[in-house]
Amino acid sequence: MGRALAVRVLGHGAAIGAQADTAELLDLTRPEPQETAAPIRKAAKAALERGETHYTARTGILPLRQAIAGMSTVDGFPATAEGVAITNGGAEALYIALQATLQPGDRALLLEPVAPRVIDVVRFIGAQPVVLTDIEDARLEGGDVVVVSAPSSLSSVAMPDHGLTVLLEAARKQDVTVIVDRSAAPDRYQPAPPFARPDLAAEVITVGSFSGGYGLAGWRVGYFTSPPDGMERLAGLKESMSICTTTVAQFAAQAALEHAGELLALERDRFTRRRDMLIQILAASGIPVIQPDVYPALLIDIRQSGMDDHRFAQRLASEAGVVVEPGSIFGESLAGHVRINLGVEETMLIEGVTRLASFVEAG
Amino acid sequence: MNERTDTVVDEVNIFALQELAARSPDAISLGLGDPDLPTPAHIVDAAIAAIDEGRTGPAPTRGLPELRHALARKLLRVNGIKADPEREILVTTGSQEALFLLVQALIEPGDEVIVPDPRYPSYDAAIHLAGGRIVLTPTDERHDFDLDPVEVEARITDRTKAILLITPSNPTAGIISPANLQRLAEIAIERDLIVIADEIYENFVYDGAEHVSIASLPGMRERTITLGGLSKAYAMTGWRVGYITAPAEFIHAVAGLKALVNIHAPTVSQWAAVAALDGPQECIAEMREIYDRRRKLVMDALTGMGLTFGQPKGAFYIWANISSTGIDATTLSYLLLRDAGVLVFPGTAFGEKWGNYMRFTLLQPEPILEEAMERMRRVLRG
Repeated sequence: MGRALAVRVLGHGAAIGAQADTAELLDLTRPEPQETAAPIRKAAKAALERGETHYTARTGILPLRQAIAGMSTVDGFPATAEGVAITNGGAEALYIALQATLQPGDRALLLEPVAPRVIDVVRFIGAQPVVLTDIEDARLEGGDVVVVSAPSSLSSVAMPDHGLTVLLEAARKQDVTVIVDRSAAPDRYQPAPPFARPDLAAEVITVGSFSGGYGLAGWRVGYFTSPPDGMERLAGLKESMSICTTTVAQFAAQAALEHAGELLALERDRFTRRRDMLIQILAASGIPVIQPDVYPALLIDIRQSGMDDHRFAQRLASEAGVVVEPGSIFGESLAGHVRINLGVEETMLIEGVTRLASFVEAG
Repeated sequence: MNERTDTVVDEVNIFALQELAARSPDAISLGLGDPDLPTPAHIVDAAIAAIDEGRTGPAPTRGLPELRHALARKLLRVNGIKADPEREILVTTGSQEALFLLVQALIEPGDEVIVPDPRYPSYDAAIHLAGGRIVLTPTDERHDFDLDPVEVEARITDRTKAILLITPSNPTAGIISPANLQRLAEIAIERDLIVIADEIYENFVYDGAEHVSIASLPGMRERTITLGGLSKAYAMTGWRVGYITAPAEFIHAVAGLKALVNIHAPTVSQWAAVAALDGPQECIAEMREIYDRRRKLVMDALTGMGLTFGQPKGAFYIWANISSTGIDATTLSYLLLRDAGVLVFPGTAFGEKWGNYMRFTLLQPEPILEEAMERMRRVLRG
């Protein structure tokens, strides 16, 4: 049997909860299911009713590709409809980008914080993951591909334009392929100006998702954009992996973009309220957080407990019945922090964070 | 850049043809294997009900339990395969992904996989990407593109990991006869090989032929990875639902990879698939009858034009020998598209040696197929 057996399978964060009786635990890592918004449901049903049940072009339906290209260009990441492909979720987009650009033995530079699953994908491809801790220091020497999330759904923090510019300039100089994961870009609390260096951004592969702010996780729809010279290879790999993306999901995503203003505003309001409420609960106990730029993650600074984040998470689960993710799962930069998801059902979220605050105070 | 993806890129000629055809509004496509028939209404209705009832959220990586159980019932009922829905079935985002995942999970660099030729080009792409080597076993028109176990056995080396079987075949429409399938099973057991059984066209066999799943033969379940999907059976190409059934240890490994690649198959499509598998099955027989009528129509027309094709007993293709035209397949593809407005894929899209063959799909209504045949006749006569 082949390489799949070598893959570390799932469950890095969930493993902590699994050690205790799950019925008793408040799991602050798993968001409650969100209903698909009414205008998206309506568009999806209309697509089915008019018989949109066939394959689409391997890169997806043109109106959706045009809308994504437009959105990406407005954000400072220039793209054309011909340089966009729709994928079965953001995960597939990232997998394709990595699989198409990495050779076995290549070095993939992964800017911290990084999801364990990304490291797993790189290893599975047979390439070598190298975690970078500081973007400003990143010379990218000896790298073949560099992956950066901007903003980061893991740390909840956006990357400053300056940092991304330094990285992209280094990549240009070193001839390193850049993959920018922009999945969390729609999930900002505050609108951001476009990236200041579209000339550099035009050279990168970007990946995106409709799972977060648009609430389409179960529909499995995402995308990648590519400069013209890499597109055929990426599109060819997409075709040989899954032919095309689920047709009805593409129409759902198109509707999501047509209603983006109202849908994202609703999400933004929901998360802003929750963020403020929880930060207040934590502040009352003197517990700081990393000020988030994007939802749904909130990183809570637990260093005053005197425990490292793994120990803290284990004890919090066993003694207070609350499941959180140790930040250092995603890299040293988030050590001393635990990560919760603000999409968790609200009463559970409040109760869980209140218990966490008491746990810290009790020392 | 990953050079192992190069084989994928080399197959673009059919995409170029498709794009050319898309620019010509009058063109008739006998190209892609995408059924023209609509997804049956009760299946679409089930998807709409899922959307209305809010059953659109994330699903487990292995697939909705309801779907895995429906697949287990189908595998037992139709294929004679007993599969544990908890441990031996993985739902995939179409059978293309099933193939991709299982090959990546199974094949180590240097492994050889025996594949009948001509073949679906995604086999090359998946095996090459995994670092494996594809070992081609020819099939031929004189034997209706059946797979000869002697030819397969002659190609087994100490690097052979698996034999890939597709019956009915894309592109040849041939089926592997029960006797040959039995012998292939014996060879797999004797030589301790894994069998990858692509059964995506299982529902479409004609002229009294019977589809047999090799995993149902004695001693084969433990060494067979069966893949299939709903795209062809229920005209559900755009929904992207496929599956793999195999021993639990292998499913566990493939599920780990599935989690990395795209997490789970789309939820609404999975509910539609439950309705397809558990609902009335008459739609399959109805489609089979429609394809059979079209098959006879196209066979007669192509015979009238001097083309030959053995006896196509399955799928919805005619793999026709065009030697009598004196034109190579790629040239003829472009010629037919330009002068007849008919899109047909050249044999070279399915293997380097097949420049004398073309694949015709039967996925247009009869009057349009008649029109396509008439246009072809005019061009070939001129």
